[in-house]
Amino acid sequence: MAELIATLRTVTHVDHRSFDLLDDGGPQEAVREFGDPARWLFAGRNSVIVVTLDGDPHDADVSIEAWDARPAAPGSAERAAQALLRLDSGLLEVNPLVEDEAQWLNVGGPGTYHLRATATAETYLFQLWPAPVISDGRV
Amino acid sequence: MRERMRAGRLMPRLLIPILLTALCTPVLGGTGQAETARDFGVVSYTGIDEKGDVPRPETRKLSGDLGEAARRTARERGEKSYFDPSTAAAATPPRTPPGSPSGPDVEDCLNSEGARNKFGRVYNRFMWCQRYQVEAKKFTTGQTGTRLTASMTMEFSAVAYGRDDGKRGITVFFRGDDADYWPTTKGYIRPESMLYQRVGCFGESGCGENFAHTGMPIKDWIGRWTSFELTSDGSVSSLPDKVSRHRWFFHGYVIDSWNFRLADGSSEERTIRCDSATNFGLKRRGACILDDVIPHLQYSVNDGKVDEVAKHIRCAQAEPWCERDGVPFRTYPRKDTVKLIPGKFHPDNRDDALALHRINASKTPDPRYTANRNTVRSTCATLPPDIYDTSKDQQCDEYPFASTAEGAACCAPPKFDWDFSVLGAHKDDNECAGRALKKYYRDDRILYEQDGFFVHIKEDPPAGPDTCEAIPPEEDEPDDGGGTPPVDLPPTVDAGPDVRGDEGSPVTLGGSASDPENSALFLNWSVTPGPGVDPGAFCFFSGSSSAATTVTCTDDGTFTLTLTARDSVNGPVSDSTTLTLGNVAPGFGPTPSIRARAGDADDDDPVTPPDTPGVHEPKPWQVFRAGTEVKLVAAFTEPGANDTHTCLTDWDDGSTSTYAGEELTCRSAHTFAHPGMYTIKTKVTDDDTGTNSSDVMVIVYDPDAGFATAGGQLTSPAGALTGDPAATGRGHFQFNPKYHPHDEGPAPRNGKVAYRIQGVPLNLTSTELDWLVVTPDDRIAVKGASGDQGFVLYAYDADPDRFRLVVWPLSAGDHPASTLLYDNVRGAGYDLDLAGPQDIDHGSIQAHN
Repeated sequence: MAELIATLRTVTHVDHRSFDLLDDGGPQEAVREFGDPARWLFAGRNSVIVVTLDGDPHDADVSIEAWDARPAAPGSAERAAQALLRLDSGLLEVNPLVEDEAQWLNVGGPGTYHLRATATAETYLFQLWPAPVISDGRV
Repeated sequence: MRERMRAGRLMPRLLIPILLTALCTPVLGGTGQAETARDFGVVSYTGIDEKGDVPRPETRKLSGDLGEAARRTARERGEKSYFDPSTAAAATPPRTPPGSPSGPDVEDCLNSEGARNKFGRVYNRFMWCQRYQVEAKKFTTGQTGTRLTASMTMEFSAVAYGRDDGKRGITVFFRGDDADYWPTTKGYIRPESMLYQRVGCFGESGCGENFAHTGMPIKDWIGRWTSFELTSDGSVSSLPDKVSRHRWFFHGYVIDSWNFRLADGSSEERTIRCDSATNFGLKRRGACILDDVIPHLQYSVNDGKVDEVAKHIRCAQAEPWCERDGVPFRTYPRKDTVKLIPGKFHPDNRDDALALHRINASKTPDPRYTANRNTVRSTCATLPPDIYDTSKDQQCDEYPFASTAEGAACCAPPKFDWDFSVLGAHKDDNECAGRALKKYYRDDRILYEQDGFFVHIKEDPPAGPDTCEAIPPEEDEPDDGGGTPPVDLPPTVDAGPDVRGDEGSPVTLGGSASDPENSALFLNWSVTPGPGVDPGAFCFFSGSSSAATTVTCTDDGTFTLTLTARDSVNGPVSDSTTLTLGNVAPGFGPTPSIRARAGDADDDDPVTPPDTPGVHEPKPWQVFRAGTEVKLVAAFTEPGANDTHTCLTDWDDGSTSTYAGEELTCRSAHTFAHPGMYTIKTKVTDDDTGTNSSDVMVIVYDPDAGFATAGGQLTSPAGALTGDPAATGRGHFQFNPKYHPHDEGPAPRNGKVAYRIQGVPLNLTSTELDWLVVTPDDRIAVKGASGDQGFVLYAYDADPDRFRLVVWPLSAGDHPASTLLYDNVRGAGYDLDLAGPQDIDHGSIQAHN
């Protein structure tokens, strides 16, 4: 049964309809593609871009949970998305391009993680757990 | 020498002309007959004129607030910094100086015209470069003026890196590219002469500089990068974000091949600003950037990702009106008078009064941000549909940005009430431009309030891809990320065991360093002299960037050597070892005196002090007339370049001279009042009590001092005749050498010397006389020749009278040495006082004086 290792709950300010989760341990390479308006989560190496519903600047509730294995899915949510995320340090900061002293969580060190994101209105939950690595280096 | 070196280190750097004066030293010392000619030298990064004067660095004239001075320099130098958000990575990772400069930005900077001046070029807030020259010149000045005696000009490249990886510091790299020597490579300043350099700083407190210079032969600076680091201690700053500003500069001097130190020189200065701001991310709570540059954000009206925002800003910055869709347009909200909207970037005309200043726009924002947002929101609600239409997926864009102090709500008196503009822009453009602004704030390290920045609207086509973020995921990764992340562990370093050796000689170090990922490591040795080491002592490494290398120090004592290893990710790791060096006495041979090629002198060699040890003047058995000056030049070796020397010359006439040794040479002069044979003994002692000596015998004659007459017999002992050591017999001598009135000498014009031994094949009759010495105490010496044989006759007019004759083949030299034909007092010295003549049996010797 999956065990919760660490958790962070915070509020962040959203402007220009997006905020970031960033690992500053290496290059940050998520790409936001405007051509797919339905997609709201963009994940790449050390970077997660979240596109919000409200176009005006506002605050959003953000929770990050680090698990040792796939956790049970949260209850119903308006939006949900999954991705694989490669982190070079494992320290994930919430919106450091905006926040004065961005909150951060050590999700378990460097590695590749499964990311499950769910959102209801402007409340966001990010769940991460390690992705096993097979011999050829792929997960 | 010691005092000069100490003065050079402690004296304020503004006093170069005074220092030059202090460096002047007499060519001759200790005799009271010093000539007026003096040597001095100087090193400069800003030029040296024909008189040896060095222009004061222009940047040193800057005064007042360092931030304002930096902005003024940026304006005057036209330095501009930007990170184009459309071409930069989505978010640049923290920047750490590399192990050595490389990459297209470095080449672009070094090859640019802006780098080729004494200030260098601030390429952006994280890189500065320069391609210029450092000069070293040595002069002699005297009654006839100042004359250049040697020079060296080194073309160099230099690169400085700022950083925002949590560490407050910069790394500066220096590489010699080429060096020219005048008059040749065999002058005072040679490829083997030592160049010492470091990077210093001053300004606000907290700047950490390494006062130890890195010293290498000039030729070894060529073709290799040498790094220097500065740090900044934020704990001493009382400013917001613990901001400190420091001015850094190159500082160097040369010790020529005769251990003569050319005065220190400094380069122009550039400003760094260091901070500990917390609003750039967890790993970036410490940074230093190059401050004398104009930061500005760039948008292009031809970049489809942000073009609507770019056109809006261009229009706002063009008040009172701009052209929109081919017709004149005035921005909203409308105003009866001309709007004044700040932030426009003027490439060559920076006006800080028009700069934008970032404010806190986070979840706990600056109230001005909230006010700006409210003003924008209420204004946008009044805009007509052709200006702002949400049904067309537009958002209401504002300029100046809400995240700046100059935003829409700005400002209540006494601050200036700036105007603003709002306009509908497609949400994709607005959101992309907004992300670019946030990236720019971090990439150019824009602090709240303290950094003025500008917005440059360009017409360049977009350089990046169509997506708002420029860098796509790596192609070999799954689309949704993945792969094994690198885990970069810090390097390990070992400075090796303690080592011992001698000053001035290389000592091998057994350092080592490794990196778990086999990453390229930047290694750097540094030296801390122990408490007993003489001031001015320095060490240099054969390879300061190699773990296994050699170290050479200019003085004896105990030193702590530290090897530091750094990869491109982790902080530096260091280990230390102890070096103990013994003193080496100065010497008169046979080791070459200087660090240069020996024995390859050419006709075009420049005039320098002797570069081989020993007494160069006077020559052995050189003849001088009484009352004329005898110059002494005795060159010695000294492996410890920091040692100073005292020379003591005993002239063998009851007088001595004590004076400083300069340029690895004892130089003095003396006038002998009376005829005689004088063994001049010179002793050199270093400041660590090591000593050595050398002597030379000279002849002093006086045509007016009298003459000698003699005739008699003595018993020639066994061993006197080289060809028949057993031979003995009665020797008969006669001599009467005499100078005529008004003779100049040294050869007496009158008289003979004759000597024969009964029954032995020795029958000497002089065919020429070289000189005659008749001393005040009735001692006589005559040198001459008999055919192909030379002779020296010694005689004492005493009780009893005494006589000695030394005969040698002239083929063995013009004065007696080890090859002799006859000597009736074998083993005695050749100095008249030490000759020990044999008592005669019959006859008389008379000195007429």
